[in-house]
Amino acid sequence: MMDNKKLWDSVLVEMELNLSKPNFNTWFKDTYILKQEDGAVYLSVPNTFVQDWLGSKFHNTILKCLRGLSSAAQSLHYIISKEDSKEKVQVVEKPLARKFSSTIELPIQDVYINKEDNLNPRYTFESFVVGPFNEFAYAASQAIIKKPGIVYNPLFIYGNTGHGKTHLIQAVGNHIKNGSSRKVFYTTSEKFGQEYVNALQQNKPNFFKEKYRKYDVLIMDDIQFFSGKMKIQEELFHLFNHLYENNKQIIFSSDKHPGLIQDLEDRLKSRFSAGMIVDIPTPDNESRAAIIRNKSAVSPYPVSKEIIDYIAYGVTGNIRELEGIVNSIVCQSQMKEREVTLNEVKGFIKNTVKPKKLVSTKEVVKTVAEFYNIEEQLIYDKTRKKEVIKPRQIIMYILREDFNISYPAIGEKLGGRDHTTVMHSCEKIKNDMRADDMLIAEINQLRSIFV
Amino acid sequence: MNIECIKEKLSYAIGKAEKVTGKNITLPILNCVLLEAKDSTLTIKATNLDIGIEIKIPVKVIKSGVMAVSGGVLYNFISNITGDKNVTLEEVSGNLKVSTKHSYALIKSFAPDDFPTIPKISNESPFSFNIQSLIKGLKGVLHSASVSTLRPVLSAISLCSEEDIVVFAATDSFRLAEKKIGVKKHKEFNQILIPFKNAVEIIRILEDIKDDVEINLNQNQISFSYNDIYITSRVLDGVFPDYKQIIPKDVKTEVIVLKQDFINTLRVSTVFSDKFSQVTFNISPKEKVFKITTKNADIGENINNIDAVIKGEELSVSFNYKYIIDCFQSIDSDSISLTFSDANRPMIIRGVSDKSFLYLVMPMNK
Repeated sequence: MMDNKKLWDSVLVEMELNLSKPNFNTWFKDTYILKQEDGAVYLSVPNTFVQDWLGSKFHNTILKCLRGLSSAAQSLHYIISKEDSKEKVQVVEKPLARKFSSTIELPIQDVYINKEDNLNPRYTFESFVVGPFNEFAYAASQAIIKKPGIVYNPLFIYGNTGHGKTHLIQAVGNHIKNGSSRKVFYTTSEKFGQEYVNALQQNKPNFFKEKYRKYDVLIMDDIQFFSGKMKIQEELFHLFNHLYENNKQIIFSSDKHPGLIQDLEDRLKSRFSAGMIVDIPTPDNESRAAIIRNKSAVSPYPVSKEIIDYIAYGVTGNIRELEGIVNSIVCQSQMKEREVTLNEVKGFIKNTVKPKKLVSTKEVVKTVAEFYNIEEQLIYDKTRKKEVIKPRQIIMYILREDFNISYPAIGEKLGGRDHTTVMHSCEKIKNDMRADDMLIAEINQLRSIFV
Repeated sequence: MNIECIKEKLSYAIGKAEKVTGKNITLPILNCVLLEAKDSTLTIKATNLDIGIEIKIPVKVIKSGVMAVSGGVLYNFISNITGDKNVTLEEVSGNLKVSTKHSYALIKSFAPDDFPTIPKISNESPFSFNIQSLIKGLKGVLHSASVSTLRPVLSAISLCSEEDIVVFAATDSFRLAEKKIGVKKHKEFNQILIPFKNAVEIIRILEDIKDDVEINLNQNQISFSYNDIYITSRVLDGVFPDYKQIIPKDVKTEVIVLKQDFINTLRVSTVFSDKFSQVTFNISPKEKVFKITTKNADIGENINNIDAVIKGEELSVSFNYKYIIDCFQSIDSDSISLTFSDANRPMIIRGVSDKSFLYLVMPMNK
């Protein structure tokens, strides 16, 4: 199949032959093929006038040309372009602005979020780095784009903060929005809750219901915050059913598996599990290197491979932190007007990377006890109840693995236990983790609290 | 085509339609108005591909038909004939013959097939809107829209519906105007962005009508229909800047002056302003002085003191007077309040006791 530009250029050549120059310029200026899908050609036109005119006067001629050039073309559709929302950057000279340059500009933000669908146009698949760690989630989202609402409904993406969940789900939204007339809406659980409360206060609950039911694709971010909010969960449940029955695509994201979200109603959990649940784990080192390379592409001075590798392998932290480091490298090289050396990078990374939070043993005990909903004191006691043993072992494991405390010291701090007990506990958890996915998830979650 | 009609009616309709026709566009058909005579109605259409208009007037149709002729020529001819009440439009060997009792003209016509269609919006839920309110809102902020198309959303007027009001806003990033118009029980709509050039036309066409107009809206177009007049304009796809957050909430200095005093003084001081149109305000609450200074190395300088009620801190700040002068046409009250929060943040101008209008102007760099 010919590519879109080539195909349209060939059509334009034929059209130009048969039309007067002003006619051609008026009606075919700024037209291009947006995409081709299953034989349907989508033509982008600048406004309704052109849409009507091409549709009524030239539709058959264009279609004939298209069919002659590409056997795949079967039908022709017009889409009015959204060029207006883009800045016309190619105009460099600003005579007007320069004339009044001494007046300060209003601090109006340029990068904005479309209020109608809340999507940030910055998040696209083009800027999304696919690596082994997220290729599964990426594949699932690609499948959804092809058939929204049919496959993998709902799509549930979970992973720790900074792993690219929001980017991925917003990219799905942006892609669907730009490629079809489907109504997309992105919201966070917090906003959803807030709106619900507002709607109740203003006595307009139906308005709220109607608003959400009209969307074809609903994307909801960070739904772990629904934990414990029963009334909102119920509302979500009804909304979910409505959208699901009407084959509308629903996408959720959360920082943990739905099964692990506390105080979430079972009927919601089971519904979340009905579609597809994908995990975006911590990026592997190669992916981290790819991400850094991608982000550093904007730098006017190339970032050397050593630096990229150094950051990818040597610096811990999520993608957001990597982005921060890359930004400071770019900034430094712009300031110094040359490439930055590895030693310089090492120098300022010390300041950029936040130091590991110091957590006391007591805090670890407290957090884990809270997580498993048992009394803190029981950990220190000699009790051998099953519900206490597991958290106690996990505490020992975390203290040993993450905080490098010696076995005897751990034993001493946890109610004067022998160091062999501690060693046994750590081994046991390690062994259990091989088979028990739930345990891994729990420990990861606990770890994310401490980092 | 052969029709007969009252000259005044035809002149009125062509006058409204003709201004919309495209000027200096490569396609000559866009300079034309399209005349369609059918079933004792003459439909006059004109468009520049950004805004389109259709006006129907009752006529006596002797022979139906369609013709396209230069709008400017037709209007200039008809509007300048005096004395005769009736006018006849007739197709004579492909051209349009316009005749009255005393004179006639033969106007060259163009192939009507090339005339673009005026888009119709199919929408089941139109809503009505008082024309005078609409015009008041548009006029209130029109002057602040950007004439440059560098940032398309800034060359548009934004309409937002909130409860019982519609908020009109426009900004060129140096100043911003916001006008709230109370409209009871209107249908709520999402933000609409009308290109300000089209807003000028909409105002001109609808200005002499007192009634309600019916509005239809879709993603790309907005249309206004009133009896026999139909206007459709492109709406911009984009998001108007969220300006609410840049309105300073804290007031450090407030000045209340009589509007006319302030305008007169500004006019005087602009005689001496420099090439940046700079005027400097010196506000001293202790000495109760509001002083406006202009200085131009080539001409001289000028200092004016205005009687004013001054509250708050001492301040010295400069503005481009052109940006300030624009807003007075939108303020009805006799006295105005100027509030400042900082020498680098916008000044707010409001009419005293008038909550509906708000004007922000950015100061100049020192």
